[in-house]
Amino acid sequence: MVAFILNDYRFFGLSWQFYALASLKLGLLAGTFVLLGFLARVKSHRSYDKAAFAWGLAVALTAVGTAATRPHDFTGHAVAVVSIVYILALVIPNKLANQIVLSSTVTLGELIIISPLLRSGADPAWVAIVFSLLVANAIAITASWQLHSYRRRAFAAGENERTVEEALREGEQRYRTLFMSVSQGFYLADIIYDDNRAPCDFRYTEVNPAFEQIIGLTRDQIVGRTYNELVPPDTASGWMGVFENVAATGIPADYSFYSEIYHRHFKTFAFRPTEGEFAVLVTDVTERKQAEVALRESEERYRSLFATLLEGFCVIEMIFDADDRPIDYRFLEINPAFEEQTGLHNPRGKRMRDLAPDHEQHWFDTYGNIALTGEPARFVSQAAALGRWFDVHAYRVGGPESRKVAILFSDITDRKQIEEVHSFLLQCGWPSSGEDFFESLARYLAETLDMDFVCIDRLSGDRLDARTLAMFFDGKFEDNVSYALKDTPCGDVVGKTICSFPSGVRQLFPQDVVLQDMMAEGYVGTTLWSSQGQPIGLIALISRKPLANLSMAESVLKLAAIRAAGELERKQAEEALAQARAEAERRAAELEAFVSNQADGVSMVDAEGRILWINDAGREILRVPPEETFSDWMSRYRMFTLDGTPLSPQESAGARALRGERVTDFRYVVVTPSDETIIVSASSSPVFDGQGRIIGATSTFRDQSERVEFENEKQRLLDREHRIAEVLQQALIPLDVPTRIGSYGIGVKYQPALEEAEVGGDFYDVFELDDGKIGVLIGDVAGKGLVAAIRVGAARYSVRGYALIDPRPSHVLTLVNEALCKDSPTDFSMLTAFFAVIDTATGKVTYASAGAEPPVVCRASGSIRELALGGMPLGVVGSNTYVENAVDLAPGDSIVLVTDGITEARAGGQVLFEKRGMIQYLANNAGNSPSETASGLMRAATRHADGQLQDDAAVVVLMHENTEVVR
Amino acid sequence: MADIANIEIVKDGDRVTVIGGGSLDLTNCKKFNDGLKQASQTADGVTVDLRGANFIDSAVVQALGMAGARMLKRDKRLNVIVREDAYPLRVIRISGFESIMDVEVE
Repeated sequence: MVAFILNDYRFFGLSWQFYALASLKLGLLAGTFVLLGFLARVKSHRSYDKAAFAWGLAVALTAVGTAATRPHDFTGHAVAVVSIVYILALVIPNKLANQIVLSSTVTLGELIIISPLLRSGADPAWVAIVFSLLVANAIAITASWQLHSYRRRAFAAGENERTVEEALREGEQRYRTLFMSVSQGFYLADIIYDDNRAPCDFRYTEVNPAFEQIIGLTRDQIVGRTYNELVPPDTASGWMGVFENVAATGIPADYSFYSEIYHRHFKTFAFRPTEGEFAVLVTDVTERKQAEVALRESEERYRSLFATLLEGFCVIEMIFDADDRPIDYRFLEINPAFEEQTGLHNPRGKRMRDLAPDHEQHWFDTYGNIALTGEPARFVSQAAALGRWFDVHAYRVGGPESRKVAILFSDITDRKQIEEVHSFLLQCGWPSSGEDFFESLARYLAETLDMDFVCIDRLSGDRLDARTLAMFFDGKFEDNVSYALKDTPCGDVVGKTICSFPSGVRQLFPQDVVLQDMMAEGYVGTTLWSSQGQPIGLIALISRKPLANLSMAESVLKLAAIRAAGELERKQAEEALAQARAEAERRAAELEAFVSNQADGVSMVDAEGRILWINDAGREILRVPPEETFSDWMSRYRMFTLDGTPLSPQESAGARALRGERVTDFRYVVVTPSDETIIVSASSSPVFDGQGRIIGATSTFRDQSERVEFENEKQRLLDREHRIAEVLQQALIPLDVPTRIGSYGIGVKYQPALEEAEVGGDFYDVFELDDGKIGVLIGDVAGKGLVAAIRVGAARYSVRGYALIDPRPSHVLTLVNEALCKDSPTDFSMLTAFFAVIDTATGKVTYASAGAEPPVVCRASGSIRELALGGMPLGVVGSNTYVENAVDLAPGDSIVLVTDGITEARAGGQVLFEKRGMIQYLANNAGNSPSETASGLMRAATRHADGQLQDDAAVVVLMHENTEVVR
Repeated sequence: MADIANIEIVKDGDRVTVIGGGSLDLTNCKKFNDGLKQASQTADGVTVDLRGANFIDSAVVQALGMAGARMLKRDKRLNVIVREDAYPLRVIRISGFESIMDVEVE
């Protein structure tokens, strides 16, 4: 029914289906615009595609409906085909050619559709309308498709799918926000060219706040200004050319530079938003640059340290089994010192088990634990497989999963060996070891340093020969020998700290038989020095192989030498001590034999005074009975001084010596228990130990009883002689010389030079003669003693006797001389004499001299004159005659006679008192009495001789005094 | 006293020179006296050189006197040389020895 209606209804020659189809198309056209407007607001092109598909589907259904209504009509089929094509056009890629084809196809389809109308002769007006509708339809489809394509492009660029304007606005807003908030500086600028079209500057058109901070100006201060207006030209940076190129070519460019103006590093990214313009993103990378430089320097520093580190360093990667047990490790990194420190070559990337299969498990365990726990470790351990000791500091690198361990280590094998040597040297040689020190040392050096021959020698006194103290050769000791050092390497060693021949030693010393026989290659030796710096021995090490580790051998040898030198010195000291002890014992025996045979007593006491030893003579001197001990005997005898005062034991010579005194010839009396009296002379000395402490005293003593008795007797004889001499002297020198004879005052003074019991040689006499005359005699005899005194006595009394007969002085002396010469024909004692006779009545003095000291006449007026005299001494030549002279003494005048003991008094042994000193004294003491003058002159001469006259001296003074004068 | 004395005896054939210097006294003149005594007994010529002497005491004077006497007995004369400014010349002159010996003053 419905189909009939639809097929049969006609309006203006056209069926209603046609109108309905046209209406539907118009509706669809309107719907297209409505739909596109809607789709312009959807958020995504997928929604748009769904809507477009739904619309296309509706169109297709319309076409299908059209075809269904006219199943046999070509138009209906054409409509369906066109609709399907249209739908396909919606989903195919947006291509302009497709659109054109599509539009053309749609238009062609419409023409096909309306072709029946044209063929049916419809009204041309309606045909024109329908055709217009068709064209409009095609235009609408094309327009909608264009819009649709634009939207798809917009969405493809990532823009919002709302509208193009909104997208642009939002994009601009977003970019502006981004532009204003980015941390990098950003600016837009236009290139400015000079007259030659060369870029010379640029003008800022926009900047962001970050750029404001960089340049230090506000946006208002920047925008619209050129670069050169804001900052000095910075041609050195070179960026102007870069920016110009970007602006010209549009090719973005990265550019980094250092600004001398801002003293900052900048990294820029320049691009061209529009032609003639460029934009620049500016990043201040100064801190990053500085950090990079610091990092680079740090890396270089650490890498240099790493490379120059003397210690070994490596990073290893631990390898565990399934149960996390460490089984191996691999070397990841090593430093240059590693190989030297370990002896492992090129280990990088290799496993330790491959390099050293016998490497101890504890190394793996230790490093494995560090890798798992992160706990660092510091330890010293031996790597036997490497033949070395190491001081290790290991720590984990990275986290637990890294399983990497860094190891810093040092090869301390030499140090350990030195420590072992130290330990050996400390223990070696102790009595408990039971082995000779030098043999122990020789064996140890051979085994430790892998030497075939070791000898320790002692040098002879002239250092030309040596004798071995220990010789260890090929694992056993040889008998010690003496050998000449000449032409041996040991000869070169003496005097040097170390002497080494790492190889070829036997070629250097072809005369050394030992070197040749054992095919020696390496040699190292050292001198053993005494504590006084003298070479006393040497140690020599010889190997059949060249010395691989010479420095080690030298180090060990130096250590061993110090200990060995001390031991050798001790050994020599012990030998010297033993020798000295033997010598001391021998001498002690000799001394004992000597002392035992001494006539003097010899004893020794300890520090407490206990008797240690006394010889037989001592026991005999002190009358010690054979059955008594000396100590008991001594405790019972008594001691006295020579004058009988009791003497305590503390005052004995031995006790005084124990107090540090050296006592010589101390004489005392011992009364023995058997009441024998012994006079003993003892000498004692303290005995000191090495520190100066008194440890005893030795005494020698002898019986002085007989000697003392002899000395006493001698003294008695001397005393007797002295008394005789004294009497004789007194007889020669009158005791009672009158102080006045007539008007003459007399003063005399005599002083012998010596204290002994000897009679002096000077003499004088004053005696009265007949007729009021006075004889005055003074003289000196050569020699002393009784013989001299007797000769003087003879002369004196001869003078007296001859003067009584004939008082002329020359006559008296002539007679006395003849008498003396006859009396002593051979060796005689010569006398000098002055004889004067004073006539008290006239004051005339006649005198003669026989070689005597000329007298001095002192006048009352103060003048003093020496009488010029000369004459042969008495007793020299028998036929001699003497000259007589005379001088008058007025009242107040005096004559002073002296012997040469006065004039020859010497000060300091050299300067004589002489007649000058005598006259000086008399002049200074002119008013004195004769007695005062005589005594004063004697004192003056004695003082001049420093208190001790060298010879006897006599002074006689006679003064002619008036009776009225009272002195 | 033991002053320094320089004593030398020089023999030249039959001539002997006894040289005394310094201070000659009893304590140090034994050699001088002995030498002079022996020379005066045997030598043909004896010279006593006292130019170096500063002092002589009575013991030396006696030795000179005795030597002079001995020489005189042998018909010879002792020759003595002294310095003019020295003490020994004074002693010799006081002793009157110029009559029995030749005193040469320099």
